[in-house]
Amino acid sequence: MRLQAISSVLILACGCVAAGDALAADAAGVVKTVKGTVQVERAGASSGAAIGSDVYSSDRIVTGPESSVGITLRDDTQLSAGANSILELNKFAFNTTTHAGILDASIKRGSLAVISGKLAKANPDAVRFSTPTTTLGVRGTAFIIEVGGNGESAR
Amino acid sequence: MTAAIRCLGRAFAAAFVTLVFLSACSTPPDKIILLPDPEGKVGAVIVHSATGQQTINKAYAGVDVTQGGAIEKTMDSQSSVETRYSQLLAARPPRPRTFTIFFLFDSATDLAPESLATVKELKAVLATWPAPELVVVGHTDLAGSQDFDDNLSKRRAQTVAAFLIKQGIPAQQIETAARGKREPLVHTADGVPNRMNRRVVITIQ
Repeated sequence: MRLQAISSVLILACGCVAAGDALAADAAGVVKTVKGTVQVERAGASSGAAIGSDVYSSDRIVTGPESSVGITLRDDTQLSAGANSILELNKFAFNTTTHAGILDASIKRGSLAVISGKLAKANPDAVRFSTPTTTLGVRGTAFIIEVGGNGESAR
Repeated sequence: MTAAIRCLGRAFAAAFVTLVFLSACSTPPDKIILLPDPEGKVGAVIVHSATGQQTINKAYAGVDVTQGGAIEKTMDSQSSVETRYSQLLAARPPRPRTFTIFFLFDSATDLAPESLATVKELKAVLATWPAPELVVVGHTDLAGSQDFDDNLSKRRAQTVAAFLIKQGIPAQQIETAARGKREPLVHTADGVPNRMNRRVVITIQ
């Protein structure tokens, strides 16, 4: 019983540290649309996404069957992921004065629609999307990626 | 004996399942399809695979890429793409919208008279926006040094942010930024004053 109490205290403490870390860095973007089941995995923890949830660099976004999510990044990049998708936002940084930064995202499974934003306009080489078989360079535009295989299974 | 037969049967079943699994491993290709952007302009995507590279630069053109890296060009129509990806496209966030507020020369505080009408329109849009965030970006014309203009554009952004808060928009929804003379609306020679460039652009994300 006492052991259980100690472990929940530990879990609480770890949760607080993780939340502190997340707040320390600027959010990369905000969730704007949610349908069905959408989970955001961050630092080993997973939580349900809602409209208004912040998304951070290194987040992994997982959608369930008949689910989808739409995210606007701080440079106006618009992302949407379809059903049964795994989207990893590997790196994101954006300087609002110079428009320098980086956007590196991978769609491991499912589908992704992109409308590129200010980063791609100012510095196209700083923007990269990848699938299990490809890497995409973006020259100011919109596109769809559909991953053919089952890709990586959801954790 | 029966146990042995049952066991053998199970082994066959396992082998069969494995075969089905293996044949399912001839994975369909990854697909990439270029779309026109919301303004109707078509850019380009450069696709790199393990063995090749292909540039896509026409609307609804695309490529299929196999696991081995082989790239095959594809051509779809607007209607087939919109049907096949209707759920995915419906999930897109609303297109960020911009509103511009102009300033008098060298001023960080005097808004052009039409600003109130602009804010009224902005508030109407905000009312229906999912999790709205306002990015308020100050700009200057090309008169003045970069440092001076960075500072002036920052003060302009702060003036507009204060104005928006006074008009009832929550402060926590507002982020300010300053671009100085880096992004003129009207391109002029350096040092030239221009009314159209003395502005703050508000983006609803």
